[in-house]
Amino acid sequence: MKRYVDLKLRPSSESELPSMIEEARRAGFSAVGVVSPSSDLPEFRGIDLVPVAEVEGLRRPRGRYAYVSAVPRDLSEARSLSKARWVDALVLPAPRKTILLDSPTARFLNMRRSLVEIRLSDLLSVPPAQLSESLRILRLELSVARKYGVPLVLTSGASSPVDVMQPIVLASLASSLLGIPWHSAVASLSDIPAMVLSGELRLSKRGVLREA
Amino acid sequence: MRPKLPKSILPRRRYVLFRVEADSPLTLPELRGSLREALLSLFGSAGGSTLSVSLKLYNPKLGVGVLRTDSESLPAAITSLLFALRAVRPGSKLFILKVSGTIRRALAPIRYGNSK
Repeated sequence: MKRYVDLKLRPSSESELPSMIEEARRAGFSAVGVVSPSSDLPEFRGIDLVPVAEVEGLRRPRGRYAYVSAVPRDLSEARSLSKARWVDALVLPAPRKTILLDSPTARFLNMRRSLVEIRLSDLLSVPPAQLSESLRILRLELSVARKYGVPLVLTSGASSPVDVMQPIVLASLASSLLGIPWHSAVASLSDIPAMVLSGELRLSKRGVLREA
Repeated sequence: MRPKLPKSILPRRRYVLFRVEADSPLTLPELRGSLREALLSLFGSAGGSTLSVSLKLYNPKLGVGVLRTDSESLPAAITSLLFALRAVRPGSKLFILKVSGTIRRALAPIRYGNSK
């Protein structure tokens, strides 16, 4: 049986965390990453909680996190972040009108064994008039990432319990709107985040693990 | 006479059992209209014409329904359903309870209380 992992829940307040965790457990996730200022998280039955960090710009987060993702504000920042060793994934947010992932950035991400992350709840909050433009940019960036062999990780990026969705719903969003093949979408919600949580990604970033 | 295509090249039929959790109940015409609009706005007339999506059953009291689609249109059907729900009830939640090849098996979780 597949083990699904949502690497990013972003509760807007601490009081919302228990209901979001309960929703994630009901949705079928066995582990979730929680963006929280402290790395000490409460324990919940039936689901593993992992502290993760999401940073804007070039600030490096303090503390120990299982997964650190960075949201670039422009292409030059994306290039700098793609070279940084502490970045596990580059977030491609929506909506926006400019490209954040070009060939040099993707090449650096591949060299650093970093990932590309898409927060799928972003797509639900995009105004209808901007959706097609945002999807066009994301599809273009995903084709560049695929060309350079940069793995993709899909997260809900939920900031409220309503945004926590089942893995099948997230995979459907990715497959139908972003043109990601079904099996790749499922792997981006299970195998790839599981690799992050097992520490395999960090080991390969340090050169301890090499591809066969 | 209508030409028949061999079954092997036809996409497989899929029935999706879903449950909607919303603050106020959603009516069948509301859901059907919103689903049609979501399909059109997301995939357009040309894209929508290649998809096979229809609302087969919906019980507003239970918030449970069945969507008929095929294996190729399944992701688009679930996405359209999600966008349709968000359009009419922004705080609603969608749960996919079962995806099956026959309506009888798709309805098993609500008939017998489990997925067998």
